[in-house]
Amino acid sequence: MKTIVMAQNTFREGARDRIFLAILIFGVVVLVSGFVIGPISLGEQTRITQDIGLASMSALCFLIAVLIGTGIVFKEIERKTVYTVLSKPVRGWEFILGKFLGLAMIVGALTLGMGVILIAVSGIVSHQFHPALVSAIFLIWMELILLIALSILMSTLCSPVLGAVFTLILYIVGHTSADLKELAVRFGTPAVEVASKVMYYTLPNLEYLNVRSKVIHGVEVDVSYILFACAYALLYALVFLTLATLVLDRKEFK
Amino acid sequence: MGSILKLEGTTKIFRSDLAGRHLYTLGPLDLEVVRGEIFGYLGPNGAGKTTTIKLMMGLLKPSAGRISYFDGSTTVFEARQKLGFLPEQPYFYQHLTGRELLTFYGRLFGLKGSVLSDRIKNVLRQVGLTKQAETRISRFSKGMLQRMGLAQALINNPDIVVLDEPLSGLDPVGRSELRDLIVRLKAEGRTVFFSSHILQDVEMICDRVAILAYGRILKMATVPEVLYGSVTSYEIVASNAPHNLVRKLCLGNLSTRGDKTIITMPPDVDLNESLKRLMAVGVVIEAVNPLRQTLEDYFMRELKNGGRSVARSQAESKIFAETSKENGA
Repeated sequence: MKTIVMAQNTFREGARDRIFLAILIFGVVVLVSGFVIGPISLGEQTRITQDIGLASMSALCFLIAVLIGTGIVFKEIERKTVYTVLSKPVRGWEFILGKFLGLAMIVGALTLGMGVILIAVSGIVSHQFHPALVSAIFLIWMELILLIALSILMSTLCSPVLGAVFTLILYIVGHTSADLKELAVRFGTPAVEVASKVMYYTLPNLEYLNVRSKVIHGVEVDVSYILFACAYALLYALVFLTLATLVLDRKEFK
Repeated sequence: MGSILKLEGTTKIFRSDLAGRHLYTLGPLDLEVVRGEIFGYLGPNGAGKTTTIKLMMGLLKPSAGRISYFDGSTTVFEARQKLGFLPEQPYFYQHLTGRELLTFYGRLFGLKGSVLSDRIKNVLRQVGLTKQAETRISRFSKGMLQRMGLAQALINNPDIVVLDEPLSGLDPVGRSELRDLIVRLKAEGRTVFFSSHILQDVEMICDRVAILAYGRILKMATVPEVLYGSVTSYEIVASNAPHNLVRKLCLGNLSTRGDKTIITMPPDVDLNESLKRLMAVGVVIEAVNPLRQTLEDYFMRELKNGGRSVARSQAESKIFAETSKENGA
């Protein structure tokens, strides 16, 4: 119950900060890609629209999730709003989970709004419905959920700027860890090889959640794979949120 | 009357670095607040009042000692359900209106429906913010924020209200209204613990006070004990008292207030004998006022005495530590 109260407050704060204007920006990007760039792409109009649409949706939502997420606990402490919340019967985990759910709802609403626009525009451009886009959009949201949990953990540890830098690094590593491991095995020293393997097996592999190119090229994505990817993202999110709670519980509000 | 809040040897040590060098130590503090009283926690800036309150609210963890509520049976977290807390210079979510903010805090206590809306109406009326209920917090003045802080501290109908410097930043009217509210809270059966350095307000409304300085409680006493315990001097208001005549009697200092002569005498003087001597030379006695120390006098004296004793005990422990080190070596 207290978690829901915290989540609703976080969502309301995002809504009143006019976060949802991002949908408008996205709408313009998709319309431009669909009706301006598309026609000059030699028969690849649908693919170009979907590619630019999914990429810009992922980038915009990542930006919003990281900008809000890395400051979500830090700012509560800095602005001292945390004093009146954590002096009430609210546990650390209820506070963290509430913040997480609120931000997950904001990003969920954003991906939903953007997804509807993308499916509509791509339907108009190609004169057919593309249900496979739903799975790509859903997994973008799952990736964002994992990254929100990571940025909330960062928010309990360091300043928003530092947190955003770390999250961005982990985002890049998360998308390239398989390639990095491959490169290290081929060309690296034994130490680099070990380091790349440690990175590969401990950090989240965000490529598991990226089915964008498959969907755009018409390759079918299994429901079982979507469920696996979903569980993978949620498990990492759970680990990050548990760590964030442990850090918060040990914090002293001087 | 049972105890509602108890600090037993509560200590907080802030370390300056990983090497563990001490930066600041508060305590050990021993303090007991009795159910239904208004308890004033006094001290100069930096004495450790806010740190004590944060320890009491669980926002800081004590390095040693114990804090308990409700006859020692309840931990800080369990007690929060019946605790109200106003932090110093409270900050709130700027995106919410007054009513939304109170709804948010009320729901954290599990309140909902008509119970919550009645409570909100009640506390808004109590703090005089009914008309500003739909105004965004970002548009609130400092005084309004302080009132909103008090409203959120009362939303759960608490048994004990802990207020950190509630009177600072308020204009005289606001201070007077807040004092009245604190007295009303006591009349409703609540316990109020508040920190302040505005001694006049504390003197007017508190039952007991504790004086904190140099990280230690120097004194704990009832306000009557402090104020009425000892007469510091007597003031005789007289008329028809030529100064040269009165001066010859050597009773005390002379001054004038309007057309009256004021004779100020030390507390150990034989008052009856002095009055007789004055009347014998034809002086008309208009009034005799025993002058007692103000809380400020008391506070300043305790601070001075306490400072000396703390410095002495710190020096002694330093000598002891050095001697032990030398012996050890």
